[in-house]
Parts: sequence; C-alpha cells; structure tokens
Amino acid sequence: MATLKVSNLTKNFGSTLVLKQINLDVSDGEFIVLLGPSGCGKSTLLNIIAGLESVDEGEILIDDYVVNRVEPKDRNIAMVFQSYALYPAMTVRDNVIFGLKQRKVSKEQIEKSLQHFSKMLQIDQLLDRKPAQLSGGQRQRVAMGRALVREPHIFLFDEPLSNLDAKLRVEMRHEINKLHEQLGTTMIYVTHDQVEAMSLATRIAVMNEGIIQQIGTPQKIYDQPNSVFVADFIGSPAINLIQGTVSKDGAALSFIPDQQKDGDKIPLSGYSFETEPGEGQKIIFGFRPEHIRLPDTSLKSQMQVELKPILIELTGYEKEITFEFHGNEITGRLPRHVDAELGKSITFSLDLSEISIFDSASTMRI
Amino acid sequence: MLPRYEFWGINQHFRLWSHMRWSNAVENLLIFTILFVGICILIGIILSILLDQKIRAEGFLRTVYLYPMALSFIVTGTAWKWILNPTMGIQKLFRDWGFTDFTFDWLVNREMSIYTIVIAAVWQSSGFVMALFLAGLRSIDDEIIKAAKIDGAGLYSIYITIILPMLRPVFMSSIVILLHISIKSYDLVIALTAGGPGTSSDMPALFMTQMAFHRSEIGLASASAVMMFLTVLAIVVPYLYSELRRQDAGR
Amino acid sequence: MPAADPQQMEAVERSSARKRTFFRWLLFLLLGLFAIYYLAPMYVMIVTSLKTMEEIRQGNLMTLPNEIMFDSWKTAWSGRGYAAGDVFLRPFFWNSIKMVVPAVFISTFLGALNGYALTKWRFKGDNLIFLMFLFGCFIPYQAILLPMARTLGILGIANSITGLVVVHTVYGLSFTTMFFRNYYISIPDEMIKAARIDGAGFFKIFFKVLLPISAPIIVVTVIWQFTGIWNDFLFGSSFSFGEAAPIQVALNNMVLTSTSVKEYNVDMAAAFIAGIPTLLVYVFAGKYFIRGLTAGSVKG
Repeated sequence: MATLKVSNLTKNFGSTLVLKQINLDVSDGEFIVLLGPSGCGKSTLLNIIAGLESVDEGEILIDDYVVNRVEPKDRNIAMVFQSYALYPAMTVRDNVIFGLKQRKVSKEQIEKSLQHFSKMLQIDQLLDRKPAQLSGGQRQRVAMGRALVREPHIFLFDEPLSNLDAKLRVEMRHEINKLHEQLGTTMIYVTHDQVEAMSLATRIAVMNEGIIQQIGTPQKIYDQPNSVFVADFIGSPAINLIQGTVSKDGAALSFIPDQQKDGDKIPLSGYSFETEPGEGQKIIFGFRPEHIRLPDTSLKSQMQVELKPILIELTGYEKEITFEFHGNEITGRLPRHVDAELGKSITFSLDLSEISIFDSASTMRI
Repeated sequence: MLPRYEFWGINQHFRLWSHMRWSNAVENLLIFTILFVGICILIGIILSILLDQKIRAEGFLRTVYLYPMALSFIVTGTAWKWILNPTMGIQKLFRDWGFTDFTFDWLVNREMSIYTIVIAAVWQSSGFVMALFLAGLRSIDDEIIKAAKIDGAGLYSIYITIILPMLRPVFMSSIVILLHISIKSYDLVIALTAGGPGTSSDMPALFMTQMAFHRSEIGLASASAVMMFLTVLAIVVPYLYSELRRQDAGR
Repeated sequence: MPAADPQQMEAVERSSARKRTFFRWLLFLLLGLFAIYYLAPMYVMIVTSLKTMEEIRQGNLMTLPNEIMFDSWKTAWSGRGYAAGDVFLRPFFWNSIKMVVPAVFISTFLGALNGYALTKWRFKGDNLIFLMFLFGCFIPYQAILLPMARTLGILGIANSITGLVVVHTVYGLSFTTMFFRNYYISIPDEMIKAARIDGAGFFKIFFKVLLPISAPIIVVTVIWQFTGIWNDFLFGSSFSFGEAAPIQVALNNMVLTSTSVKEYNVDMAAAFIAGIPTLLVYVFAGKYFIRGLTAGSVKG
C-alpha cells in the first residue's frame, strides 16, 4: 500500500505550460479521480506520476520517496489505458503475465496469480485467445487483469471506460468500484465523465488549464463548488448561473439580477459567506436545477417564484423544464407528474439553503 | 528477326534450363536475393529503431538515409563502379591510409563480382526499408509502449517481443518489394559489371534482354521472361491475396 | 514486491541514469556511421567530378581537389566538340524531359479517372479489375518487353520518344490507378451522392468535386511517376536507339565507351547530372516522396 504526494509540479511542452504548480496529497487506499475537460492536463499529470513523462519542476513522492528520476517499472505502479494497449501479438495469458515475467517471478507464483485474478475478472475462459478475438468489454477486463496480477502499490487508470458503450461502461464502473473495496489499493483515475468521477472517487480533483481547481469529496464538489468553473462543469443539467449585484438593506443582504423587471430581490440571509460582499458588488448567483421545487413550506430557507415554462422535456423519470427568469434561461428538474404547460406560470419554491455565490470579477466562491 | 509462328512450345523451356548461362544466372540471382533482402531488412530495422528514439536531427538523418532511393540504378552503378575500382578506388584509399596490403578487387574477381552488386543495391534500397519500418513504428499505439514500460520491459525486449511482432505486415511488404526489385534487377548489373567478368555476375533479367536484343534468340528470351513472370506471380499473388483479406477483416 | 527501499532506489536511479547516457552516445555513434555510409558515395562523386585526371591518379577517393574545376561538368554536358563519336548528355537530357512531362501528365490523369471510377461508380467485377491493376505494379519489365516491342512496331512508333511516352504511360497506369483508388476510397461516398442529387454527372463530379481535393495525392503520384520514368533504363535501352535515347541510356553509353583514356571525372559529373532532377525533387518534396514509397507498398 502506498501514499502519493505531488508537490509544486510544473510541466511545459515547448513553450506551453501544461501543468502549473500542482499539489496533490493522496493517502493510502484513497481513490482519487482527476476530472476535467480534454486538454486540462489530467492525462499529463497521470503520465508524470507513472514516470512516462519527465518532471520540469517540483517533486513526485511515492511513500515519501522522491521518484522523479525513477523508471516507471521501478515505481511499483500499474496502469490501465484508454485503448487497453494490449499486446496484439500475444495471447491473453501472455499479456497478463508479461509484467511478472519481466520481473523474473517464479513460474508457480505466476500461474497462481494468473489463476486467481483471471477468475476474479472472469477472463479465465479467454486465456488462449488473441486480443483481436475479444470484445471491447473483454479487452477491458484483460487490461485490468494485466494491471492486477502485478499487485502494485498504486493503480493508475487513464480514461479506461471511454471506449465502451454506455451499458458496459456502467457495468465496468461497478466492477472497478468493487475492486477498490476488495483490494483497498491506492488508485488514481483520470476521466472527463463526471458521473464516473462522482460514483468512484473518495476525492475528486477538478482540473482546468493545468491547474487543480478544487479537491474534495464528490459531495463537497457538487454542493460547494469553489469556482464558477467547477460549478458549471459538475452536474447535468448544468447549474443555473445568474449575473447580478448585491444590495444591502441594513444587515440583510439580497441579490438583484441584472435584468430584473419587477423589483424582485432574492434574500441571501440563508447563505454563509466566506467574505461578505459590499453594496453594489457584482456577483454570480448559482443554484442547481433540483433547487426549483414544488411549493414546500417546510424548507428552512426559500422563496416563492412564479415561472413560465418555455421548453418541457420528459427524460423518463423526470421532467427537465426550461424557464424564463429575469432575462435568463434556467433549468428545473422536476417530478414528471408536475402539471406544466408552455407559457403558463406556475408557482415554485426556490430552495435557498444550498445556493452558491461567486464574485463576478474573480469567478471564485465568496 | 521475323517471328515464325509455330508451336515450338515447351522445347524452349528445355533449351533454357539446359543452358549453362541461364543456370548460372539463376544461381547468381539466388545469392543476390538472399543477401540483398536479408541485409536491407536488417539495416532497415536497425535504422528505423535508432531513428525512433526521439532524435532531434531525425528529419535530416532520414533524408540522408533515403536519398539514394531517388537515384537511378545506372547512376548508382556508375558511382560504385568508380568507388570499387580495383586500382584507383577503395583499395587505393586504404593503402594511402597505411594498410599497404589491403586488396579489394571484387569488381574484377569472378568469385566475388556478384557481391559488388549486393553492396551497391543495399546502399540504394536499404533506406527504403527504413522508411517503411519507421512508418510502421509510428503507427503503433503509444499506449502499448507505455504499458510495456510500466510492465517493466526494457527497450530491447519492448522491440523484440512486442513491437516487431506487430510489424509483420511491414515485413511482408518489404520482403515482397525487395524480392520484386531483385528479380527484375538489370540496370544496376549493366552499369556496374555488365554481367562480368565473363558471365560471373550474370542475372536472369540480363540473360533475357541479351537473348532478345543481341542474340536474336527470341524463343529463349521469351522462355526466360515467362520464368521471371511466373516467379513474380508465385510471390505476389499470395501476398496480394493475404493483403486484401487482412483489409477485409479490418473493415 | 517489497516496499521502496530508499538506498536500493537510489542505486537503481544512478545506474539507470548512467546506462541512459551510454546508450545515447552509442545511438549517435551508430546514426553517424550510417550517415557516413550513405553520404560517402555522393561525396566521392562530387569530389571526383571536380578534380583533373592528374589529381585523380595522384590522390585517392577522399582527397579534395586543389582547385574547383567545372571542366568535366562542361565536357559531360556538352562534349568537347571535336572528337567524332563524342557522347555528351545535353540532347539526351532534353529527350528525357520530352518523355517525362507528357508521360507523367497522361498517366496521372488517367490514373485519377480510373481511381474515381473504381471507387465512386462501383460496378460488378470492379474489385477484380483493381486486383489486376495491383498485379500490374509487380509485372517484371522483362515480361512485357517483347510484346511491347511488337506493339510499338505495329503502331509505327518504335524507336521514338512518342513510343517511350506510350510505354511509360501504360506501365505507370497500374501505379497511378492504385494511388488514386486508395485515396478516393477514403473520401465519403456521401459527397458524390450529394453532387449527383445536385445534378452533376460523371465528369462534372470528377472535375468539380474530386480533383479540387486531390492535390496531395496528385503531388505524390507526379513525384512517383517522375522519379520512376526519369530513372528508367530498361525501356529506354530496349525501345530507343541513338538520338532518341533518354538520359540514363546516354549516361551508360558514355561510361561504357572507352575510346581513349577513361575519364572518371567526366563519368562522375555525368552521373551527377543525370541524378540532379530526381535529387532535387527528393530534397524539396521529400515528404511526398516518402509517402509515395509507403503508399506503394502498404495498400490502404
């Protein structure tokens, strides 16, 4: 078992800075997901941890030992790739045991590990086939088997599920989750899929433009995003963000949307500011689609709103309804029995207990 | 040379195969082919792997290794004929450098003349094999090499056990193309040795044109052309067949 | 696997760093040696062509000329002007140009048309026809020498540049067709369908839709054909004599005719002149040259 520490890591490709001052502390047994849009540097970070890319500045520590100049094979890691990266000329068996053979593990030990893990992954019937004869899901299992038999201290996953179809993806996600529970090994997992991130991670590191924007538990990332980027990136349908200003009425703060018409104010008394904004400060007011609720007086902090649907989409279990709200389009996520008609106002409760407020200039949470 | 249209048929082939010059030419072709194909593939693989190591000057070096391919076999032969010149060529160079006993007279040596053709042909064509293999190496999924590195394979075993087996189609293409070049090799022999000394570096292609255009032995010429054609057929048809099947499977 | 032991890790680190530098040096050494191997003949050719025969006899392959003299180049290009039977390259160089330009143009154009028909107007047996074209790439020249000689004779264009243009066009068609077929097969059929619905016919689609997007493969094909035809010797020597000969034949004659003393400097200058056009193409369009080579072997 192992810990991993990345400190002040910087990486350039030519003149482009792909990673800027990355700090990451992973304790033993954690499942860290690096989440971000493509080109955010998450795969580069993973490759550097694996030793496949060099470090420009900063340090990588595995079990408190600086491994910057240690070869990938000596780092005691295993990696699963997006393209599976199986060796096409070898059988499944040879693919799986290749790493053990390189390490001169005894024949009996190899056979034992092979049997154990191929049963665990249900690939024991496929051992004599070539990768080309396998389906996508089977290849994925073999790729995992190849990583597992090595019994590494850290597992690295580079978008391992993105080549699978939707159904298999869910299945393999469960499988990986179970594996983590069974083995308790430290895992680092790169993906751009927020559902994977939310369901697998003990902590998520959201990355953008070479910077870790926020690290935290999935719950924390979802409920209290620390920037507009994180708020907007996590959650589907996306969070509703409305530009406006702060108005101070004695001690009571409220929010005035930029394009509001009828003098509505949204009270901000239920929100605990980290730094209290001043009168007239430009802010962004964010609330998630599920915070538009059917009228409910039991909510401890709420506001009644009249909303007119401009688009209604049934997603199966729910209805996603788009409303006009002070010149913005906002989305609500409502039970499907809600009686909505285009252009007909309905009264809802806007739940104010879990909103997020960001400063317009810095786009950071305040 | 007015052709007489009579069925002389298979007799020409008997005449051909009992012809001393022909069997000598075929033997030379075998020696030449084995060496030429073998050395070209070897050099091609080595060069492509060396160039694959993220070299800064790769573009320049690739240009240098491949430029002989742009030259004709006649130009190649003319240049090497001078370099291999038994008195004033490479022999004199080494003697001037202090190896006073150095002798290199393969060009006029009946035993060795066929090897001079190998030397020049390898110089001209090995860069081509390098280009093919380099293209093959570049088409390999980067993640496979990463996976092998993490699995603990050294550079040597990555190439031997993983990458080269993946390049089987490139091997096939290279071998077929080199075989094809060697079967029809004519220009280089003409320019370098003209088949000599005597007929010691004769080749089937040379035999054929000599019979056709200098000896008016149209029958023998045709028979030998048919032989060459059949040989190519035997090599190319299975190759094209497997190539097309591979593509169909890939689709 | 034991947990990382710092001391052991350090040792691994140091030895792997040392190994890396060693291999780096070995790598550059090998690459350099190969570069010398490929460049040396070119160096010898150029140096020899610039020397006088006296210098050649005195020195060796590698020695530089005392003075750079282009006399042998002049002799190779336009002769000395007195000796009868004086062979020089100028007229044959132009022969080659007169042969190459139309042959390249016609074979490329027909190849494009073939490739288009074979991929976008599929018909029964089209794959068989393509297979025959592919096989045509491999037919040894010798196998078609005699039938071709007869055909040229019947057409009355034996021993002429026109005859050579025909031969090279016919033989080159296999390659050009293969290049264009493999290029056009990757172009979506939807584009052709859209053009047909818009009312374009066979030739209109070819000229207005396909040709404008064919620049890369046209360059590859033109370079391939140019190099192949310029460098050809067998067809040239078989189907043309005397004044109609292309440059490679003239070069070979020049080197072989040893009327008096062998002039190696003139030979080398002549060889270099005969190689210049293809070398220039290679230097300036090397990328396409390589693409042609690899396309010619790995059928897509």
